[in-house]
Amino acid sequence: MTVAEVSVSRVSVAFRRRAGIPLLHGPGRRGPAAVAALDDVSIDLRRHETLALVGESGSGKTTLGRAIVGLQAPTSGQILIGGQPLAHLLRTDFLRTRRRLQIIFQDPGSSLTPWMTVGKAIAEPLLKHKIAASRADALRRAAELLELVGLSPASASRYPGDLSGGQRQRVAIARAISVQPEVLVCDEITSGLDASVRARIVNLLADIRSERPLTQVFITHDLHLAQAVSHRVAVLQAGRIVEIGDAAQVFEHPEHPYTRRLRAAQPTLPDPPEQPEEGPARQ
Amino acid sequence: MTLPQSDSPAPGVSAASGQGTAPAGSGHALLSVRGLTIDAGGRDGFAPIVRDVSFGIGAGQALGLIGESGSGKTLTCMALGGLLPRGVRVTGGEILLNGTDLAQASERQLRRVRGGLIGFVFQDPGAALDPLSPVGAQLAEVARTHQAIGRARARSVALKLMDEMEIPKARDRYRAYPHELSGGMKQRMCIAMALAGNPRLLVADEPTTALDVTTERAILDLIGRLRAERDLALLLVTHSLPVAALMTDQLRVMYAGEMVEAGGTADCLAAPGHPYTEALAESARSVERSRDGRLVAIPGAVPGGVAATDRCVFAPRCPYATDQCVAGHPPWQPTRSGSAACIHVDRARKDGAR
Repeated sequence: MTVAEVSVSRVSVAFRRRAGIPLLHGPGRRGPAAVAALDDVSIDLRRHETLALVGESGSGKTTLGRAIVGLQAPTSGQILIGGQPLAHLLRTDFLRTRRRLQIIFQDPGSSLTPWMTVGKAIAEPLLKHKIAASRADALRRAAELLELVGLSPASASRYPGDLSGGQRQRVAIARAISVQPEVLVCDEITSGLDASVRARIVNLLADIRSERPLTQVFITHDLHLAQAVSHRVAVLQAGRIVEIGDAAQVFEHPEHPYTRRLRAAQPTLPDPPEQPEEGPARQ
Repeated sequence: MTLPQSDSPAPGVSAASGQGTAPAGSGHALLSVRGLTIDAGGRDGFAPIVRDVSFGIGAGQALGLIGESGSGKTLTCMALGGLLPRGVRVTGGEILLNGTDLAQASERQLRRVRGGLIGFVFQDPGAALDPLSPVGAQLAEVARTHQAIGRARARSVALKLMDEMEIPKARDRYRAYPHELSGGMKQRMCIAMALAGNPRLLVADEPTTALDVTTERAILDLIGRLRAERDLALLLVTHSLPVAALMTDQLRVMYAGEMVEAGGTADCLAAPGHPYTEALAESARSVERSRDGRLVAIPGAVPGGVAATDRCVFAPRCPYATDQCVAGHPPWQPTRSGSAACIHVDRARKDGAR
């Protein structure tokens, strides 16, 4: 299977402000009629690349992620998937395009249907996209996918509400990769999770990347995490990319003051002593 | 309904609280929790979900409580204010605040303590604020419940607090509804409410988990400054080790409803006594060091049910576990700056660094 490269070219997204909803921040209670969530953003993702998008809330990371999978139409500019305009692909071959571009959200509690069993939730896209030959086949594949993401096949009959946050996020991952997407956008998928659960989700994605070709966008506000998982990092501020480059380069030698500020804000663990001392006990 | 405190349920526990508070050099304990046990009602009657937890916080001291979800950190905090959910209750131990046992206190006494001596801040500021009334009025109302003042005076007290919380344009924001404020501003309002009664202790349960990195730092810096200016003690619940390292000088590690390690924060994280603390620290460090997309996870999961008393609760996930670990509940052993409930605290001495 070939994996598409993604080309974002001069994309802007503006949200019109509805009348009657005043914003306190910004210039006075009235403010401008439209807010630019993305402002003339251009970025190319190579095949098999993991790109991290970092920045504060409101910087446009989520909007860019949604635009890449076709959930948010750009106000101007265009996005190319494998060289073809995304808008055109969605018009002419909607279902297949949706299958190629998958997104996983921060809160699996709200992205999974509460009254649909986990097995059915994973089987549904398999049937919709005619990847599974029959209902039984879809459910069998769903059980395999659950095993792949580290859940017991028996959990297929459980409901999202029966699962922990980490388990639900695994279900969301299983559902997204079930249709063998070429592009996977992960939007703050580990934000609500414990360090250890976060580690397992991140490792699961690393396993998936090593087994099948995937172009991945990893959205996070955790700079350490961005550096750990990505090849390149793009730093967004107020809808613009202010810095982009090799992950280690961006964090170890940040050029933009905003990147430096983000980096300085992130608490880090003090280094452990290189050599263990004589003994931990002190009388 | 309160069980009598047995003479000494686990001799090490008193060692834990004793040694735990000792290094900070604080003479008098503001808060002293001893042998706290919390039970939850279920189909089969009551079962302990927090067992025999002890710790102390001296005036002005900052103590971090860490552990995975399900470790009992939040329940422990809630017990301090009598805020346990229905069907969950304290069945053993004592919570001494300035010498008064809150575990035995009446609802009336607790109401004075909440916001009076102890201020609480929770993870989701959106849920803590009333969506239907302006935030300034909510803050003024809190100020009036703690001080005998009129409406006009309450308003100026509230505005002063908002200034202290570094909320810009406080006069405009006084009239704002919660949905009009950003997450960081809402959390500042919640901190203002927690401090309106001039408490001696701030209990903050994951106060920055829902916030992004720069807002988190701003809130943490604010809490740090308020602590210094008001000589405020802090009980910080977090699953972020870097945040605990930044904010606290004492650390308590909880696992499956039990306390497993107590000591100075820097020492605990640099040279963990308990294998669980070590695993948490390794997992957190791997995020900062990994360049290949892989992080260190702790195998297995926190047990969901009731932890056993006759063996180490962490043994099934512990790389050091031996037969001895499941033969009895591990005693508290001294570590570099505190103690840990593990028979392998000396492991580093035996086989060097892992």
